[in-house]
Amino acid sequence: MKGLLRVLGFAGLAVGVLAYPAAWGVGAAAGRDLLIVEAADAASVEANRGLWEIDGSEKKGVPGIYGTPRGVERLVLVPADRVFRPREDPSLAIYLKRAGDHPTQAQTLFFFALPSTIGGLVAGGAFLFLASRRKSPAPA
Amino acid sequence: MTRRAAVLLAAVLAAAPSATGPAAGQEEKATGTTYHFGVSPSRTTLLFESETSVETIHGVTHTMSGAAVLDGEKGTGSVEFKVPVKSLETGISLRDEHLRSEDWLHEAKHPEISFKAALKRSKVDEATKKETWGYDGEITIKGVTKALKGDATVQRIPDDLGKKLGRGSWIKVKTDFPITIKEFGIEVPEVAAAKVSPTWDVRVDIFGTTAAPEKE
Repeated sequence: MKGLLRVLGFAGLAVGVLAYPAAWGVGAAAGRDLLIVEAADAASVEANRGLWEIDGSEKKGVPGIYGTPRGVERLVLVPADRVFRPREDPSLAIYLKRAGDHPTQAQTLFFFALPSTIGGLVAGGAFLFLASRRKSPAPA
Repeated sequence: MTRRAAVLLAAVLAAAPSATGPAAGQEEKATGTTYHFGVSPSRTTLLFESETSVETIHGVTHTMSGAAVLDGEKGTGSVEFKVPVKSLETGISLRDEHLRSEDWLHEAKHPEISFKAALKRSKVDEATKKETWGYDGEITIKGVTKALKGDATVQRIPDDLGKKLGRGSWIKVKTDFPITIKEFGIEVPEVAAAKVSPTWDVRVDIFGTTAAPEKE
């Protein structure tokens, strides 16, 4: 029992200590800054492209061809095939958001890192405290 | 009918108020072209966004009903539309339920968000057919009505492009404005304070058509 408490204690401390570095690591390694655009249907895209050409085909208007732009956000674990590069400006990296899409935002990882740090440290400390209070079994 | 009686009848008819003109004490009805909104969900996008350091909530609806009357000659008009609260989506169904609950938009009691305003054109770009129309009106959320002023971009869509969108002559309307939810009696609960901003940005990106929606 004492051994199990010690394992749980060190695991809790590890979660507490590593939560923030893990959030940062996942955000850095698996995150991408993408322009989120609420996707339009094909007929609307065609009409938007026509209006964009009438407007003078400026690069700043390219995201509006494909829907309603929201803004740039750092998203994590986005499959490569969901990153859209428009032919009018391939330097843009767009996430075309469709109904029901809820991509994970890097900032949300940091939100969960705080309770994980506090919870891990408190629980880990409590388990180690309990482990230190338990007597080792007497040798046979 | 004698000639005298005919002259008298003509004089009486001329003096009577016109059947189409405004009667005394009545508001003059807006004249111009009527553009209907919300005819198709794929031609209708209303976004709302709450941004905090924890999370950006992306809300959307593709459902609305209403119309704008634009008088191109006078440069004036009016607009009125409604958005059903139950159509608002944030990508998480549980959160949508919260949004419709009594603490938030109270959909059961206030099923619609409504907006109506007078319009006045302030700018015309002949080359792009883009016009700027100022709106000055009222928005009602959760039964609370507040003034709302701003500018909208209206672009007339050439007929060859419009045909692909559907029946009628089409315009595209874009505008955005902030909404401070506290002003509408919505208090962010303490437990959600880190995740929900007190101010939401609303973005309207809709197509309107002169063809009235087909009755179901």
